[in-house]
Amino acid sequence: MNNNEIVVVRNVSKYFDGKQVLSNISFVVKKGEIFVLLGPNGAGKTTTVRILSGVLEPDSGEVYIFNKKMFLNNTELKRDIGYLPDEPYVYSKLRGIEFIEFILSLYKKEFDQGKYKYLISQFELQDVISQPIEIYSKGMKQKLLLMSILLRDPELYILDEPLVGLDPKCISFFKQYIKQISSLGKTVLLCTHLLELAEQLATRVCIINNGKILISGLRKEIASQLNLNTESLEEIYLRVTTGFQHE
Amino acid sequence: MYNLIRLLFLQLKLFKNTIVFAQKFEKIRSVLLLLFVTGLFICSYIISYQVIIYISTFPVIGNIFIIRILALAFLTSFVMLIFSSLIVSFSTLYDENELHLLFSLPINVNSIFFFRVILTSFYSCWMILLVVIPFVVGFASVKNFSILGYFVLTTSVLFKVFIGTVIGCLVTIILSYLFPSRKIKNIVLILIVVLSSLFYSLLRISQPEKFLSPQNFPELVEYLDFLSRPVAKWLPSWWVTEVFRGLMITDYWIVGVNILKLFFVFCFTVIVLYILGVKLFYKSLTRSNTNLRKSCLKEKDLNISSLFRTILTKEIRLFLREPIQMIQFVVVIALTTIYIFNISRLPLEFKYIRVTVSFFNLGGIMFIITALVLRFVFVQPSMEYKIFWLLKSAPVNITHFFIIKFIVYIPMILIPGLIIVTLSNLVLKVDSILMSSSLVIILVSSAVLTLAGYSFGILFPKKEYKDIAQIETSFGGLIFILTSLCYIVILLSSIAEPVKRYLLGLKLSFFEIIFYIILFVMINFIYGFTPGYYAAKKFIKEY
Repeated sequence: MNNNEIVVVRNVSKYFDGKQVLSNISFVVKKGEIFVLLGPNGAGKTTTVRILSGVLEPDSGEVYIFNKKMFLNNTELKRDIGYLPDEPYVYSKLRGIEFIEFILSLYKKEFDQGKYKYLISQFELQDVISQPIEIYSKGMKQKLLLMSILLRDPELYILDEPLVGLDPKCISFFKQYIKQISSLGKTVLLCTHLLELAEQLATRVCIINNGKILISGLRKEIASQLNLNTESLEEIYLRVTTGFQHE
Repeated sequence: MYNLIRLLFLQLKLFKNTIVFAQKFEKIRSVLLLLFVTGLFICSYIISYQVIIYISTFPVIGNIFIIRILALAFLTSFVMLIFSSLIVSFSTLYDENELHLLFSLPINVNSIFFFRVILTSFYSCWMILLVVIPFVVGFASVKNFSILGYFVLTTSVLFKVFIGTVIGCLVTIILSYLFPSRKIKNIVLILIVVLSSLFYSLLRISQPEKFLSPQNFPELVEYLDFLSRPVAKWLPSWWVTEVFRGLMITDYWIVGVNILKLFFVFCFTVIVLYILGVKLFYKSLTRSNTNLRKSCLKEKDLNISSLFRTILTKEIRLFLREPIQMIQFVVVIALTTIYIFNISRLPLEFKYIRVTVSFFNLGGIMFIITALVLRFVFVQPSMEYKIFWLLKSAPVNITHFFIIKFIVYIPMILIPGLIIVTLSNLVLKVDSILMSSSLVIILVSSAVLTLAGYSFGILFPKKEYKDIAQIETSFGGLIFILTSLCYIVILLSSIAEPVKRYLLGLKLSFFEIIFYIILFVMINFIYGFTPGYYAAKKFIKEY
């Protein structure tokens, strides 16, 4: 392990009700990378990111983030992680602004008014930020959660299907923002099944299916490994997933 | 009509699939629950049967007394039905995601509306019927009703149930139409419950039982006349009582007239529901989602505070914005007032009675505490189940989080407990030793029950629910109540001997005192920390 390796996953396995959902997975995410975890529904992507963010503990194997072991009560480590789950459940009886206040207090982050104003206008939440979250649409909740993460500017972003419910303007803003923070040395682990998004953002890709990592690396490397003439992620994805299924 | 039947069949299929696709643990859980309910049903029947046989032996007033009890039971259940329907219909008629799906389908609004009304009727009456049916069947079997008699009685009870639930639904729809803002609707709902609780408390404090004592009447004839008078004769509950009386004295004229009254009122309420309900339902549904109010809360009000204050603020905000929680709190206060009043009405001339009542009073208070814990603490993990990701991924030590939660909730449980024990012991005029030991016992048991309540909430979360009442009445809630009852019985048994010695004026030796203290600590430790240990394990692994 070196300082450049932000996330190190070693032989991680996880079972739910006796069923293995992750089987000895290992991968590394380096500093400043946009690492995209791709896979079909039920592949184990969400379980992986839940383990990485410290929400779940693996049944076997180890997870290191910033060279420190991740576990449920590792509060210091969690302070530098921004985790967005695939389903945006929040306290529906709180107002949007109260939720932001709650998150900033939990993470002990100072309130940056300039950044708040910038983000709230980009996400177009000005009119509803003082309203209870129960009246928000799914997209609004997603925006609020994204805003609460971007506002505290963590070192590592773990984002599970971040574009669900977002409108085109926000999607465009989000993509630009992710590229910008990556260029500033922040690390992003993105979990999605949208190939288009991965194509546009990914510096490295990892394809997972049935709880196993099928292939991982730079697109160029993967394409040459698979003897493909193209670096198209769609081609790579279909080749890897259907190829393995047919065996 | 076709669509309504399809929707009802769909509901049945959903119910069937819940059983068919249940996991092994859930199946065992359902069987246990069914056994418990059946046991409760049989016990209620046997007790009712024995009590009625005993009352029937009273000369002259036996049958009149039976009718009086039935009338009161039907009246109480009728009022409870209206309230239950009122509260349930707020969530079944308005607050469900399923409505969005239903309205997107090519189904008539009338069908959707009546489908929701039928669901509301079912959800609001099943528990009341579970209590009332064995009671009524007990009465009917003592009076040897024929099969036709049972059929007529069942029909009249069903009419009463539907009238009650339809009234509840109508009130909800009218409220939602008049007050489209959810906040005002909640305030009105809370006001209704507060006023009803106040009315019930005043009714109890007026001591209606004194009218059942012949010595309060100058002549026996007047007493019999009082007993024979109808109880709220314009309400369907009295008509059902009259049906029962008609069957008892085989006067089919009385039976027929009252069945007809029930039938016509039932038809009338359904017609009102059809004409008024359907129109207002759709209007109130569309209006209730469009009333957005601008709040004056600004970013300058943001206050980044300590973990304790952050969680405390969040808990207070969520509690104050959840009307059902507030309603339950009001109901608990009303019941507690009546509980203390009931104690004050006991014959307390002798010390041994006061000490004995004070001892059993501890059990009663612990049960009230259990009810409070069930309502406010046990429900927490289920309510937060889908949001725990936020706390688990945040830089918060989970042990600290649980300790803060405990500190936040313990006053809500402890303060009412200490107030009740102090007030009831003052009413009982107990000495300082009993007073202080009662306070210590309630202090410790409040903490233990709070810990156990939260732990059971984690162990048996209800992940999907329509309102908080469903969490309380879930399998986990039942297990918590049963284990808490065992804890209360064991704890009381452990202190029974010292109380007996105290009553007899006998002293305990030093070793006996140590023994009873260790026993007390151990019982509390086991019940407080065993579920906590397993809950912590489950929380780390599964949440």
